[in-house]
Amino acid sequence: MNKSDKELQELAEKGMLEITDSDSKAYRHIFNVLHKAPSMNLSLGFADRVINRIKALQERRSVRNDFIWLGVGLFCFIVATIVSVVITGFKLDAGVFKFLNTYGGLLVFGVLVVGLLQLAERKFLGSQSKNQEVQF
Amino acid sequence: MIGRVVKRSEDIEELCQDVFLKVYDKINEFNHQSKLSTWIATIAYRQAINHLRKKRIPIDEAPDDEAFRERFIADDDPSQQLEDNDIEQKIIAYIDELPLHYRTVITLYHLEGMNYPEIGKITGMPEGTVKNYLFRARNLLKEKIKKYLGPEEII
Repeated sequence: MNKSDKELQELAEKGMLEITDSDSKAYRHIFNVLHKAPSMNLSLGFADRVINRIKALQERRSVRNDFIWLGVGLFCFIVATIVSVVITGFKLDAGVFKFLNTYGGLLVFGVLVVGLLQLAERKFLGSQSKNQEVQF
Repeated sequence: MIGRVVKRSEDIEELCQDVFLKVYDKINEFNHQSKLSTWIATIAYRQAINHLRKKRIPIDEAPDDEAFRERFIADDDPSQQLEDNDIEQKIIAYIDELPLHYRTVITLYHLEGMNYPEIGKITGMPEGTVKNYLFRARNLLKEKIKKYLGPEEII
């Protein structure tokens, strides 16, 4: 008597399948292969790529944490400032900085000189360092 | 597991990396309620399914109609038939032709050695469906192999 597919599958799973007909032979073939993994090779650099991605993830997380702490710090600073102002009744007053009104021209001159010095440094010293890099 | 769900080798490699990364990232969330292998397989399965959805690759449902069965058994690429003389390779190729859910169940059961509840947990299918898909997948393969071997090869 021919066995049902269910019985054949159960016997094949237990390794007790005898080949008596075409169905059992086909199942024998199939069950011999089912536990075999299809050939698939990952690239040689697979582990390195995973490690690099983990490092990048850690870095991103670290930067995110830094920003979170920066935010917390700023928030605390603002709260502390508001509380201090409320408690002490501090009034904002330019005070000693009022004297700058009379030296406006000097202030502009100072800013311009610093800017020019920066430009000159970039132009002359910057090109020198580039030349040194080329020599290497 | 991923190799059975996704076809392109580049995608497989990338998804495997994603799985490693996710395991590393979420290992603290593993609650020891299941085996570690089941937990990792769940991640791999979901990554693969999400990839198919993202790429708009249709996820073929497991069809239970007779028309599909006949088509599956009848369809065969003649060029492949010439190349794949080895029956083992042929069966592996036939497994890849099965609908996604059949492939998944067969892979998890036979390759990863998981039981029905574990497969149900990974795929979100009821245990009865897992059993049914496994039976039908193996049955389809049997019919296909019978056709491939032909009457003279049998016995």
